[in-house]
Amino acid sequence: MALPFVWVMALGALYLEWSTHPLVRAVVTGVGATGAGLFMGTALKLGRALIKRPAALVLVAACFLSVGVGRVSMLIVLPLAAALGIVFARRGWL
Amino acid sequence: MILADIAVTFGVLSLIAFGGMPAVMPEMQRLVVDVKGWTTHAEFIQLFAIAQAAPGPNVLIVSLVGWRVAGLAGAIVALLAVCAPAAVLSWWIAGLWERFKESPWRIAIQRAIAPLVVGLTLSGGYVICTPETPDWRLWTIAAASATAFLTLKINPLWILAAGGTIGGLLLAG
Repeated sequence: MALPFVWVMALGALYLEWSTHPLVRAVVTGVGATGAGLFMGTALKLGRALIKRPAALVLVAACFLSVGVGRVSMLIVLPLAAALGIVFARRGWL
Repeated sequence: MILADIAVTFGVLSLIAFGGMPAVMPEMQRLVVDVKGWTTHAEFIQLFAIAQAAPGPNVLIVSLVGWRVAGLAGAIVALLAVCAPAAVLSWWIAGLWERFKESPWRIAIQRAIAPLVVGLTLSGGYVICTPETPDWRLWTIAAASATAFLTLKINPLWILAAGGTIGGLLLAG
């Protein structure tokens, strides 16, 4: 972990030097949006396995709408969703 | 005091990081930007981008946030806070998990966690590319990169490079 830490700090320091430049800010923001898209792509890839299970899709939608769109704390959503998921799984719906 | 705040904030995140850092990203963004006010949303997406571009795990974004808030000490404390509790918990759970491998509860928990990880990871992506005022350009870049990731068999670094170039064209000025 030490080497990646040094790498990221070096990149951070380099960015700080150039962060006032509009083009640099735009490129870095574009990379950030791309990273967000990669997260979504990963989620969709993982979600393919759940597509035929409506109860799983309900849980996916509930997590997305509450945490992503509604900005509700995960400390509230996670225990509730996990409990609901366990109930669904015990009933053979997942 | 600020170092203790960083340690507690990222320590808590570490303990709820089921599915890795992408799944906990919405909570991190909420705490760092909305609750603590340590960065703006625009700065957060830029720190996230730097962490993505650097070799190593996604978790390194916490070092950049810690550094932004409290310098090098903040970076080190943030990294330790996010790694140590999860490592201890994983080590402890691994033994317990093995002991209950035939339990129907273990199977139920495994099946319950999968859709949660998908929903939270999707939320992570959505939150990062959705600032206070939604920006169609960020959404376009995110949608294009998700599509490329799902359809093209290329190294994600190429997708990041293309996203940076498109960002330079769309977002500059």
